[in-house]
Amino acid sequence: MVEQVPIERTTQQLIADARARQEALAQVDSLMAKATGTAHDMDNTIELTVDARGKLLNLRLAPAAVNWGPDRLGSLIVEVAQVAMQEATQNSYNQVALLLGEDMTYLIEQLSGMPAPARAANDDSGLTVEEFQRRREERLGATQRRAPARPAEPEDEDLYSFDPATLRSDR
Amino acid sequence: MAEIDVDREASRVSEQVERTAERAQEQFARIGSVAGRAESADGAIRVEVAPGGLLTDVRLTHASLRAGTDAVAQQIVELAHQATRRAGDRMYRALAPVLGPDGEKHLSSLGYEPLPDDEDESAFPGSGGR
Repeated sequence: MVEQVPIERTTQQLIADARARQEALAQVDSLMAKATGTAHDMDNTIELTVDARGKLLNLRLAPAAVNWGPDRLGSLIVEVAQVAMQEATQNSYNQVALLLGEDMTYLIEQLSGMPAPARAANDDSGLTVEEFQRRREERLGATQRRAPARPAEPEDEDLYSFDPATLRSDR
Repeated sequence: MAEIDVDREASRVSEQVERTAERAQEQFARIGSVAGRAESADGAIRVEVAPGGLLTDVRLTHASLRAGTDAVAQQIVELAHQATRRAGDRMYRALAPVLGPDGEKHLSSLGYEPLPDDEDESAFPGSGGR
């Protein structure tokens, strides 16, 4: 993703580039600080919002949350917080990418050791990983049902066992 | 304009980064865990966060749930904030001596700031609730 560009520019140009990058990078901090992510459990008993550093901004517990019992409720809150942080991380990278472009964002992801979660279909909502997986399976099921009903020729087997999820566009 | 020896500059910078990383590692080893913890006055709710504030552990008791879920949620948020400030204080104390005055503003931009003396962790032995 990061292209190798032969160095043909003058030192002055390189310095100017570096300054421009430094200014852009200075904005990354504030973008990171502003990005938030929200997630909830599958039963909607827990919903919480964190910023891109993980700080808990908001927590809502439905009355039914007590049914989990204290131990399970505690660990569920931690799990939902992790999903929400992934959302927040993705949101912040999305904004950084608008500012710095894809290559530079990729570089920041590498340097920070925190790659952007896949630019997934669950990017907009507080969808949990499990819920995303369930919807994906539903979608795959629907795709398979749309396949022609005629019996498959033996040499066609590969075609029908092909998993559309392996396509990049399905993410 | 004096010419810049790019190679020498690059190796100077990478040496500096290595030295800083080594010293930071020593500091972390000395300070131990940089996790932030807080618990309610009655000990019924305990939270632990990573530097930055991500919840890593939430311990509840049956007694804590009797207060109602709204009260529990609010208390968890308050405790998480307190724990986040404590983790930030630990990160600050670990890294400020390594990074020097220039680095301090970066630390505070990351939310790693020293706690005021009256909010020091040791001033709250085992407490934290309001």
